Amino acid sequence: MNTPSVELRDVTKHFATAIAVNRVNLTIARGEFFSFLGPSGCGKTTTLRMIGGLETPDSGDILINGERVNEIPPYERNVSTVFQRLALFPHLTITENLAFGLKIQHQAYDVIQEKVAATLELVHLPGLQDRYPDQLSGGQQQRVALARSLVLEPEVLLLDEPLSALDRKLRKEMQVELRRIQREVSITFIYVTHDQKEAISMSDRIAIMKEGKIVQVGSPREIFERPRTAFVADFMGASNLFSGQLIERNGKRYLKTQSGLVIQVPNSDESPHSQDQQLLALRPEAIGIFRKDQNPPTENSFAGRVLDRAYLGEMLEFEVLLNGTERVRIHSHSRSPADEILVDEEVLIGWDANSASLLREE
Amino acid sequence: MSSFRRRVLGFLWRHPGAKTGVTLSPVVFWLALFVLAPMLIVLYYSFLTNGPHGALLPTPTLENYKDVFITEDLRTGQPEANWLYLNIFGRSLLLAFLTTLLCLLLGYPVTYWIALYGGRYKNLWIGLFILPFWTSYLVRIFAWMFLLRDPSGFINQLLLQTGLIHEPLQLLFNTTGVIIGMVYTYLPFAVIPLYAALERLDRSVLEAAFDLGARPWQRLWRVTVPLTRGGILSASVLVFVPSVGEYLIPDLMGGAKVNMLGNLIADKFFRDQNWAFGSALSIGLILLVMALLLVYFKVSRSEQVFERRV
Repeated sequence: MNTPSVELRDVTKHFATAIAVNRVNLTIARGEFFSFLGPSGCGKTTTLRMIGGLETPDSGDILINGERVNEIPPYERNVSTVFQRLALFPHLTITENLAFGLKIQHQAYDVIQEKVAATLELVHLPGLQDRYPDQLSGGQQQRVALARSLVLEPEVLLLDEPLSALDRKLRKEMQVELRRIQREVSITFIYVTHDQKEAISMSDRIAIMKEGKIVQVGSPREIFERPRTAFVADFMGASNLFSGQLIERNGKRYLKTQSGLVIQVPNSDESPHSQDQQLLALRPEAIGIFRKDQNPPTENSFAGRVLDRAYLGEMLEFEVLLNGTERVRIHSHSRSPADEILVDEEVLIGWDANSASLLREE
Repeated sequence: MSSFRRRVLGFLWRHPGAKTGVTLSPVVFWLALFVLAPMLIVLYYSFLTNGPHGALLPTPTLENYKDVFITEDLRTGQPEANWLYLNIFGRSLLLAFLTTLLCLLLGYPVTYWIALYGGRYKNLWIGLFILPFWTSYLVRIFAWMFLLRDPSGFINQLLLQTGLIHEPLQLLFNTTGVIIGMVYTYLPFAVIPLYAALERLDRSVLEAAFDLGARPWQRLWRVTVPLTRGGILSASVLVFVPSVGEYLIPDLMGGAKVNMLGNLIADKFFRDQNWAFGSALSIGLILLVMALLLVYFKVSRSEQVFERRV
């Protein structure tokens, strides 16, 4: 395998007394679409800015294309950033914005014209060359910001929550666009976001960050289906957590909670390292909810009472109390038999044992 | 409510034009009394004939204006350009231009530093810059004269003692002295608009310039200066306009040897008792400044396109 595009070794950064990034180690391969995902203040933007050279790490090394770049200023690094606030040059036309970096590299006029035109085509922005940024819509400005970085053909493109200012529909559209563009140019994209759906739909790999540390790195599927910690599980939307002891019965493993629920544990999960308190995460949409008179599933089902019910548009959210203590959140399709279930009703809930996942660390 | 008051209010409600007039009337009154009226008096005087002992004769004439530009050769009596006055006009423009340039060159880097790296002490730094402005102008000029004196002044002593120079520098009672005085006096006028422009500059745009490969100097010329052009223009006007008509600094720090328009006008009024000619020169100065302001408004209007998005 050839040299990784970006490598972080024990990278640490403090701001005043607070630690922003804490001993981050990471290898990002060439051409990868890599995302940093985490809540605000988790250090993801700071990490990105260190790769771009806009912040310097207190300790540790940053390697781009195998070369240590800690001391190299941003204007000498072969990376480019799409900023959250876009940061287009308001005094320059779209063409001039794109040509900015090329002119500084003293490229020939013809080459600049050619590259600018090709890049505007790549981001689907024809016919706006002579406008100024404030004459463009938010989505168009977004494309200009992207084009201004891409035109320099950087080794790595850094994207700092670039879609956060767009409305939902436009954001979806741009996610697809970014993915397409990344495939076409095959440049390493490093993307920062706090939106788990965005990260999942776009990335090859995701690093989840919390309080300056990376808590889990993996493919979207791994992170979504096999969260390692309660934080990751919760962040990815698996908001039901059961804690209890592992027991074995008839060759199958179960989690016995304090309230006495006995929940089947997916058999694919490897053995946890200790036998004491274990956590099991379960996504709200993986659980089925049934009226008493319906034909309930046989395995892994529990009786409970509906505490609350909310209509969320395409789905219904139920909160069900099991065994008098465990609260479970359930999402079910709004056009399903579950629609008839009302608050205070006695219900049965159940799920496929394999849709839950045992957390490995705290 | 009295019916009179109701009728007045009703009238204003139905006639929005009249309402605007009434609302603006205090401003209009103030401007008319303190700006327009004195200017009209000066304009009126400039067309009168100068009589003996400073009297003004009500004979209308254009002589005063002619005298600004044209004089008669003493021997031949032929009309020729009045270089004495034209030189003073030229010198005033040149010194005001130099003052403006130096104020920008000194003010911009310092203001840039305060706006971008001043952190929580920004306002303190700017306050310190402006603080001397609140003490008497005359006192500050005298203080500078003590500092600049040759050879006993502080600055000459310091340079002589440290061996940087062997002969005392002539820093006062010449053009250098006038420039030092004017740059010092008008620097706060440059700092305030520059600070306002640099302060609202979007930091991420500056980062983007670095990110796209611009070195610090390239960023300055291609991004920072163009984006603060509005502030630079305002600073230029605020320094240039008062400098071009400056009177006290050339008189004191120029040792009355460096004549500027302000001195010429003052001389005509007080020494020569020629109010008519002094008025004509004043109108000339006002027209000059107005022409420059017109250019400024034209240029700054075309700037606005870049400053809309901040």
